Amino acid sequence: MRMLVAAALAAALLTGCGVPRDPEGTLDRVRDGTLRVGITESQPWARVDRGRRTGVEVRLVERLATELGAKIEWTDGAEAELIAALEVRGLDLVIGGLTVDSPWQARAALTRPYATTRVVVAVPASQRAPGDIAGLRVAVESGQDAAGVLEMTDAVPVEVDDVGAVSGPVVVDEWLLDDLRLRDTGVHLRTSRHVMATPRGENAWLVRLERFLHAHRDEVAALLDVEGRP
Amino acid sequence: MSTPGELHRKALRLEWLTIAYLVSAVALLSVSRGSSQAMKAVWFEAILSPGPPIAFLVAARILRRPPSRRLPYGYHRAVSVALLCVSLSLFALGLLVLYDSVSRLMQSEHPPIGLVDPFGTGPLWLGWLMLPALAYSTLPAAFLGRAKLPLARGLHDRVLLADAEMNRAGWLTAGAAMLGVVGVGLGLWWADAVAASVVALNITRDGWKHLRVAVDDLMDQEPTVVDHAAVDPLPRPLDG
Repeated sequence: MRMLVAAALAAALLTGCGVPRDPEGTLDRVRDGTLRVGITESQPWARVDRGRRTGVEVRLVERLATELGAKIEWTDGAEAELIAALEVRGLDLVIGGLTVDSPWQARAALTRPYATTRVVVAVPASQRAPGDIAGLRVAVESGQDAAGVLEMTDAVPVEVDDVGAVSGPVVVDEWLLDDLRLRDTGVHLRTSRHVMATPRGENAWLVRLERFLHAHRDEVAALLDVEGRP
Repeated sequence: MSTPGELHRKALRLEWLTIAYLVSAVALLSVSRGSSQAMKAVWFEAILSPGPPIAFLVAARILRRPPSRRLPYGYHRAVSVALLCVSLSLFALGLLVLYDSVSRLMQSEHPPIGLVDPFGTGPLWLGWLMLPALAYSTLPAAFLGRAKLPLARGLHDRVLLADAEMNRAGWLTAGAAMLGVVGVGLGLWWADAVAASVVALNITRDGWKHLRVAVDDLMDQEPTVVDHAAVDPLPRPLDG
């Protein structure tokens, strides 16, 4: 019983004074130092174009770096490569369209989802949304997982190279609805909850990043609008 | 002094209460456990804790059934069988969690504990939720255990005794887990796995203790007092 009281007292004393802390001091090192970010290309979250990096997550990370007074050191690579570097704390952060469903749960500390996006079945804004997609011919970009999901519905999938050029029902990411003058039919094929990855156990750093993402959660839609433009 | 019937009815009430409480404790631990190994160990323990109360309640139903041709000695051994099952699962699970925790320690596994927003009021470090969840998993149990102990002695019921002692000792595992969580908060990554190992050792020890009782009973050991501390004295010597 004494142990219990001691633990409760310790908790009360520690509230608010720098807990949780990092076992390896990542946050302290990044602050006014260097933030080492691994980046995998993934539209519209992270793009590498002739040495310039853009995308929703790149913008967010740049803002975080400014807040922390840190300068960013980018590393381009495949997800598996970057996560392996994260595991040995060779990187502080990995971005590039990661979602909660990504297979890295056991090897990285994923943040809470900071944004949710949907892949929707849409029709031109000039048309009325059909009550039901059964039998509807729906254009979908080939090679996307949405194409596979569409196969399982009653709609008739038509594979195309560019949904922007189609003038009927299409499968698109929801942030493209306005740009392509489309209307959501209410049929959502996939929901993605977006996260970033940090080294496991660096809890002060994880919590700092999660607080940042929470504080800026309302700006993601606007960023998507700019960065997601076709 | 209450009659055995009254004691038994009181014990039944307390065991139902224990089960209801444990279900709520498991639910609370499930939502707050995160990636903490110590939380996982306490959660496993809480999942098995309804075992003894259920065994007691089941035994209460079938214990007094009359012997039949197939079961000429009646049903009273059902209690020992139930205790054997519960204690074996505790013992095995304790070892499993111990192995898991020690190997995490050896691989220097750093547990990530981030933010949650359970009430929609803004994010909060999950570690701060683990502490009250752990407290809830042990404090009511301690009172239930204390209330059940005299009943177990009065009724000379080993399952009830095992259950009461487990409830009462819960603060040890919860306290260890709390220190583990606070340790992680302070940046001591190993605190979580060490706390989990302590919890696992305790589960294993509980299982071992009850396993011995159950096996001794089934092996028709010389009669002892209810907690096996001594041989039960005969009320009067038998004639030569």
